[in-house]
Amino acid sequence: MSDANRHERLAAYADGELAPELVRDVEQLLDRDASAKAEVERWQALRAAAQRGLDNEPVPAGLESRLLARLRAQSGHRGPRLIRLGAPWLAVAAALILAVTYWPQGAQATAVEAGGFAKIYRACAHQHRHDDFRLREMKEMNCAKALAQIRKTVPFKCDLPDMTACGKFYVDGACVCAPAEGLPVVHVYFRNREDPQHVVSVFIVDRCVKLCANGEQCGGCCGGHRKYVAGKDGDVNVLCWTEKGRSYLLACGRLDRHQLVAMADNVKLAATMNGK
Amino acid sequence: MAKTDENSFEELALPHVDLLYRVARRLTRHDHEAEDIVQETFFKAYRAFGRFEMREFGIRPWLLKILNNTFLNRQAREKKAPKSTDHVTLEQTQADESVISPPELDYDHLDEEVKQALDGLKTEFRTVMLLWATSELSYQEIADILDVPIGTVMSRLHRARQNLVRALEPYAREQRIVQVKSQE
Repeated sequence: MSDANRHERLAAYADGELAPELVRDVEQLLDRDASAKAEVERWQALRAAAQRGLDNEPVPAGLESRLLARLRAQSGHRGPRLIRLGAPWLAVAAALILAVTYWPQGAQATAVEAGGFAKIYRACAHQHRHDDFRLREMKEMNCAKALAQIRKTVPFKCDLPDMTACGKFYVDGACVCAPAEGLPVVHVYFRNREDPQHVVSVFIVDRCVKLCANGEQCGGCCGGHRKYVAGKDGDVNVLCWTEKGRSYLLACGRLDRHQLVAMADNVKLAATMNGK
Repeated sequence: MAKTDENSFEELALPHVDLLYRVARRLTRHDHEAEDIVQETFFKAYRAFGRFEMREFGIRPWLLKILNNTFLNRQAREKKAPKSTDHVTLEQTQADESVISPPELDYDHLDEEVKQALDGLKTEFRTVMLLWATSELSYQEIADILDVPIGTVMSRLHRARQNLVRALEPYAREQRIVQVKSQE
């Protein structure tokens, strides 16, 4: 392998994009050559730095609301007229339109039974140990590899939770089993290193979810810095919150509601995972 | 457009506003222009939503494709279109330079340097790198967004990565000098 080929293959491997017939060769190289392994890590670190640079780009306050107002105004057959969103008078106008049209939006959240999430927690994480993304098979699975593996398949930006501050949990598997038909969900479950029966499921839903029990919306509760909706199914507590236009849920049969709230308060949405 | 389509467009498209703005901002390097492009992108997407098929990758690549086309159209209108680097030139340029790997650096604290290096790239390389930086996109998705073959994405990525790495080298040298001095 020439130097140029080697660098290109390692870069493509770091991206999870190397042709399948070349993966074996590269993995053998990584096993015997520490410098190659370090290079893969540097490519991944470079990409992560580039991604952070993009993620940290500040977005003007109220952009989404203003855009929504303009879209709704347009759908009222008032012809699209391109105007600068930053204009102060528009912000006022947009706010007025928004006040009339936006708030009923909450009613559009998809109602999902807490029992549906609890069922997946019991079945996928405990019984079948679903692992659609074959994370368990991955040699020396690290955070970046697991994340890249999931993101290759999942058709939405999947901000996986960073459980580092929640105890000694590692990612044991992930699947796309959904509690309702057509609901775009990633279910990742974390297992405690010291107590393998202690499992916490995290669901990332690519839309806003209204957590229900027997058809009635569940009650809210406040954490340290988030507002949650809490449900229960048998011994499984389910906690839901919405952030960045998506709903995130925790489910656990070992933790009561207060413990689950404390855990959720420590969860950061980040492009990293607490790998094994 | 039917009311249900309108609702589903909002539900599907609006969560991607921030990403679209960030990409637009880095492409244009201008706040207001970025907002205008995002707005135009959403209007176009809204009007074309009836023809949109969810397919396997979801709505995000489709929106990014519209955004990229909107940006390129504006550039062309303003006669600022970047000169395209044809394949032959690209290959020749590559042949002239040795291929290098990323320098050893603490990338966790280099976000600003990487950002500046990216912003210094030519538009076509900057675009492919920004799409690459949204790490949930595969090479195939990037190819679909840019409407080019996947081989072109790979060669642009290769070239862009090399430029990025070269741009970081002076910083790596500086860091090494600082380290040596501190050891002395």
